[in-house]
Amino acid sequence: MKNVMLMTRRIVRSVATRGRLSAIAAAGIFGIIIGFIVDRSDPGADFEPAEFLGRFGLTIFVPIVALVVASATLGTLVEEKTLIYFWLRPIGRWQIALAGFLASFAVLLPTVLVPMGLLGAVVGDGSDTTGILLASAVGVVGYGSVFTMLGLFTQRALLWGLVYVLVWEGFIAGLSRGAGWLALSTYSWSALAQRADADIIDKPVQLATTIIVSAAIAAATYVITTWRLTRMTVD
Amino acid sequence: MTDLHTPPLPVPPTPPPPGNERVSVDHISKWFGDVVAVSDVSFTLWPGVTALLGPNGAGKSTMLRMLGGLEPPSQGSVSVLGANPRTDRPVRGRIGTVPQQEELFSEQRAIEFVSLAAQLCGVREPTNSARAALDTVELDPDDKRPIATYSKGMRQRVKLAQAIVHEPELLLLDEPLAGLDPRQRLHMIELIRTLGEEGVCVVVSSHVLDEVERLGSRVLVIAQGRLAAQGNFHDIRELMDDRPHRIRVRTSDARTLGATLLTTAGIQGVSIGSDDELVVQTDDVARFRASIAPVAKGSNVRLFEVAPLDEDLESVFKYLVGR
Repeated sequence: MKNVMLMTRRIVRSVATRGRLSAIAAAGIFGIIIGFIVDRSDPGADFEPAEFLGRFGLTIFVPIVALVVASATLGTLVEEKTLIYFWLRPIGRWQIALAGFLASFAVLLPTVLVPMGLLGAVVGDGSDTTGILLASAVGVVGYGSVFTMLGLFTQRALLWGLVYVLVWEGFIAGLSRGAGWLALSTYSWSALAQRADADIIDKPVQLATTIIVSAAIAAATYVITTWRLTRMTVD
Repeated sequence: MTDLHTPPLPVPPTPPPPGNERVSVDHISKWFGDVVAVSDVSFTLWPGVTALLGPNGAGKSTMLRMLGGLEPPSQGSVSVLGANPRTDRPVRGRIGTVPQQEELFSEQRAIEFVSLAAQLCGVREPTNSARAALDTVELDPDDKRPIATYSKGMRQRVKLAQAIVHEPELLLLDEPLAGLDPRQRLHMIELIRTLGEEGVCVVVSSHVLDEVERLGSRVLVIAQGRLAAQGNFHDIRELMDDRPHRIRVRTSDARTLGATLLTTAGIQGVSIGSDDELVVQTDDVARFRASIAPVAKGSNVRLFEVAPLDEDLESVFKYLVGR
């Protein structure tokens, strides 16, 4: 595990650039300000905090931040041709993959959970806050895993990730229940709905199922990433 | 990219000391789609310096990448220290590689970068080893600047430091002298020679004949993806010098001089380009150079220019491949 932690630290330093963290922080602050304004603008209106948290946090903020960060962890190593300095060492490919996943989670968890927790506290009550925190964590694991893997497969991970988030999750997944099962947002929204006890999604998935599916996605993408590292030629 | 059926050159390799082989390459080929980068190459390497000599695009880097396990051969097999470098994890810890690309973890300091390499290779005292490696390549281990601020030559030396920090048995250096100033170049050549003398199997790729000469190494000549020749540098140099040379001569009377030259020993042919220019083909350049002035004087013609037409390395390689 020592090698994994060494590589994780190195990748985190590459990914957590000042520019990237500033952009994420700005987006989070923007959401908090909007939440504050919406929450205070019309006290008599039928404002559902969980719905706002889901729309801003789970539909936009979490997937986009996960895409920007996770696609860069292994993706940047490939793009900048520095993967070779891990690849040449007497370490398992599974360790490099694990370092990539851990780096994604290490950067994403604080950068996502802190603004989402603050946003929950600003617009909702305790159950909304714990709901958005749990749902965001589910989103980080799901999106973070998928986009970490994607970064290794294509140098256009940002583009393909956006296509997935906007076209699949934003449009196709809403057309049928079956397609919805293949959308990560179904699980994060379900976690929020269950924990906040809010009627924001039709037939939400059970919390246990959500956690199992998230873990399964992480495991499957990790295996594929390791396989890819074993087979790829490294520049 | 290459003619697969051209027979290999007859220069015999120096026989390896038995039982001390570090690298064994057996009929490897590598192609990318329709492009053949390396074609049916076999050789054996043992401790000491071996230069992969060839023009740009000859397949040297692809060969080195296959030796380092970065690229699997399309056909044939590579054995490094008795194992497959692509699939055998422990053997990678016995190989040091200086890749061609310049990219490093730019925001790190050199000592951090080399220490990380040492740690990942399982070196016991990574910081001390990294300091020693940086000292060896004449870089300051206490330099506070990030690698991003380094010149190309300094980056090249950082790359070498990360390759030697774990004291590898096989060192693969892809154009290691590129970007170095003359003094650094001399030091790097000295270092490579020392490593070879200490028993490290060092493989250096280069397209510069003079560099290879100064390495004093065994040479594998790679041209158009094929092993065009192998042997010690002296053998290869002789082979290159023995080839027919073409020399352009500008003179006041090309026909008269050409007719006289045809009767001179060592001249294989003369072609008249114009009234004042002819091209001479000879297999003995030294004798030609010594005789051209007296011959011109005896023929009562003036010489304006004597210039070799195919002294560049590319034409030498073409000749070697075409033999």
